[in-house]
Order: sequence, then structure tokens, then C-alpha cells
Amino acid sequence: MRGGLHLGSALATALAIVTAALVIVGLLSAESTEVAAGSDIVLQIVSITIALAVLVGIWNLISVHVGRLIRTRKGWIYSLITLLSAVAVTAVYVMDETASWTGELEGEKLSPRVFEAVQVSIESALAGLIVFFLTYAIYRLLYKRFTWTSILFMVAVAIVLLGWLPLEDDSLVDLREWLMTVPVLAGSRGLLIGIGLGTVIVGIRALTGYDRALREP
Amino acid sequence: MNENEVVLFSLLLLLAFVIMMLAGLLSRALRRVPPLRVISGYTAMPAAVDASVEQARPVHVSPGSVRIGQESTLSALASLAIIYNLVERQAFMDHMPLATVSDPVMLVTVQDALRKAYIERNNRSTYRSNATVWFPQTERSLAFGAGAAGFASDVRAYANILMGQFGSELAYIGETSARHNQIFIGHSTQLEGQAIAYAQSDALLIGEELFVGEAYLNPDKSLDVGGVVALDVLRWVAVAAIILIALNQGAS
Repeated sequence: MRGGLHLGSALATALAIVTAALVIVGLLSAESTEVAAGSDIVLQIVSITIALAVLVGIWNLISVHVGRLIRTRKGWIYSLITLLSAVAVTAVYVMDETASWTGELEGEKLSPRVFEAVQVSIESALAGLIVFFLTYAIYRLLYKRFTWTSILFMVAVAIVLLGWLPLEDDSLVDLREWLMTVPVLAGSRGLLIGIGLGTVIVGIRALTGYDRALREP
Repeated sequence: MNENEVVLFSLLLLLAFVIMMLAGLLSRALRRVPPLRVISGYTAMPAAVDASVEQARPVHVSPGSVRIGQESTLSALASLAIIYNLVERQAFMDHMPLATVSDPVMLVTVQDALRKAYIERNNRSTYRSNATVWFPQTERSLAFGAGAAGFASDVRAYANILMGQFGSELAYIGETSARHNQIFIGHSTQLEGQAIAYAQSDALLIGEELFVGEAYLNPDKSLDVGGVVALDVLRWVAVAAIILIALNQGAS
């Protein structure tokens, strides 16, 4: 029913307004009050819902990658690796929980070890590449937007990077320290205050039931 | 929260509400949208979607690691509004955009936004739920960056439009965009991600600009425009308060 009142949408909006109002009043009230207790219950329901939603995520992961595999879309080999990894990790976890390992591995928990050996190492390796990506990004930034802010950005990055070098002269180190504690900190706080104010605006939209997520087409 | 914080927060909420309503109602009564300052990110986003339609290629949209039910819920709602508006713009096509998320609740919510966009364009038959892809998030979220970048290049995405919460993983997607000649528009509510987005983006979107996306992409709604006015007023109030506090502390 487009353009008119949609019953489902109206109910969802009413529920959202009541819940949002209850939670905000609960958070602003003293801990021992009934409103605060009601707010806690709502938050607990949310936590349970979030936990259950992981199952939806796993279903999505399987369906997306099986779909790519069946249709042999570009990158299907990565989907195969993802699916095999998912099965292997699940199997290791089940073996851990049921204490099924025998021999030298008896009584061991392999899941954390697998995570450390594979996930953490790969992510650390990837993290090491970021500095190269950013250096190239700064070159492209100056190529695309040759403005005084871009030049300032490049100079600040150069000072911070050079400031880490173990040079005999401490002036660059001092300059880096000053940069980090005065302009960078001030800018960061300004950015975070702005984001905080922005969330207030979106919060009011949610409280008044005007948010896009609640509207039907 | 102590008593002072409760009073201040309530006042802030009330002030924002009053300004938003007044500006929205005034805009409706005058039947005129007040001139909004140009934000290059919001100029580039619809242009990128339009160009993707001309080239019959999908766009890649992502809110990153924002999570509904957590501290970033409101950032998630703001990102969702932008995603809806962009997807709705190209929803008459016979293909789906790529959407990537790292929160399972967000997965369902983005799927719903995409579904609504295709219904809006009377093209429900094209909608597929598996166009939204979930990458489980780890501590550093680099797996998300690598996965989303890989998917975006596999589907030959014309543009990567990422707004929400990102960390250093944004660098991978930016790098892949440059390598595959994809347009890259990035934003993050995290400082690390915002710095990377500043260096790599083709068009800028900074800080609180995320929260006024609906007004820029769909300026017909007067209450959304009221939100922009309220945000501007609150920003000036915050600036004045900081200066007054600093002067007061300096004097004492």
C-alpha cells in the first residue's frame, strides 16, 4: 500500500518510539527506579536478539559463498577457501568443546591457537602494508587535490613519521610530540564533538519515529 | 550520569528538538528549502551512482562496522538512510548493488533498506537478499577490508561508497579502488578511518556530515532540512561554550 498508512510501518514506528523513550528515560533515571529496570529489560532483549542474529550472518556467509561457487563467479576459489575454513574452524571448536582430542592434544583447546596462528598473523601482515598504501595515497592526494590543506596533511604526516626515527637531534621528536598533544588532540576532540552533536539529531529523528528505517516505500 | 550531566543532556536534546521542528516547519510553510552549504561527498555520491547506471555496473556501499544495539546505533541509522537513497536512485536497473556489513543485525537492516528501495522503484523481482554480504568482524577488522575490497573488484563495482565506522581497513578498499579505477568516497566516525578517508577519497565527507545525508540526498523532506539547521546551531553553541569556558578558566 504505497502512499497511504501502512499498518506494519505504523506499529513498528509506535514500538520504536515507546522503546526509545523508555530506554532514554531509564538511562537518565536513578538505577533503583522502575523505569531504569524496564530499560534494562529492553536492553537485555536487544542483547539476546543480537546474539541470535549471528545465525543469520552465518547463513548469509554460507549462501553467498555457495552461490559464487556453484556459478563459478570470479573469485570462486576464495569462496571455496572461506567455506572450507568455516567447516574446519567449526569442527575444531566442536572437538574442543567435547574434549575429543586424543594423544598429545588430549585436554587441549586448539581454537585459540588456530586463531592466533592464522588470523592474528595474517592481520598483522596486512597491517604492515598500510603505511605503503597511505604513502601512495598522499602522493595521489596531492595529484588530485593540490590545496593548502593537502600540503598541511602531507607535512604533518612527514613530521610524525620522521619524529619516530632515532635521530640524535630531538627537535623533530619534540615537534611530533607537540603536534600530537596540541593540534591533533584539539582536532580530534572537535571531530568527536561534531559526531556527538550529529548523533543527537539522528536520535531525535528516531525518537519522533521519523527515521528512514521505519518508513515504508 | 550525575545530575548535572542529566540536566545538560536534557537541555541539549530539547534545544535540538525545538530548532529542528521550527526550521522544518518554517521550511514547509515557506515552501522553500534553505540553501545548504556544499558538501563534496554528497555531490559526488549521486553522480557516482548515475555514472554507474550509465555503465551498467553496480556500486558498492557499506556502513562498515557500525552496529545496531551498540554505541554506534545512531551512526548505523544515518548510514542506512544514505544507503537507501543511493540504492533507490539505481533500483530500476536489472542488477543489484553490492552491500557489505560486519554486524549481523545490520545485515538484516541493510537487506530491508535495499528491498524497500527496489519496491519503491516497482522492481521487487530484481531484489536478491544475498547482494548484502556479511564479513564477521575481528578486532582490527582487516578481514572485512580485504573481503569487501575483493568482492567489490570481483563484481566490477563502479564506485566504493563507504560511510559509517571504519578503522585502518579502509586503506585496503581505497587502495583497491585506485588500482581498479573505481571511485572512492569514504567516511568514518573513527579518527583513524577518517584520516585514511581524507587521504584516499575522491570526494570528502567529514565527521558529523554523515548525519545530514538524508537532507542532502533527498532535500524535499522539511524535517531533514531542519536537522541540518539544528546541527549548525548546535555546532555554534558548542564553539561558544568552549570559548566561554576557556575565557572563564583563564580569568580565574
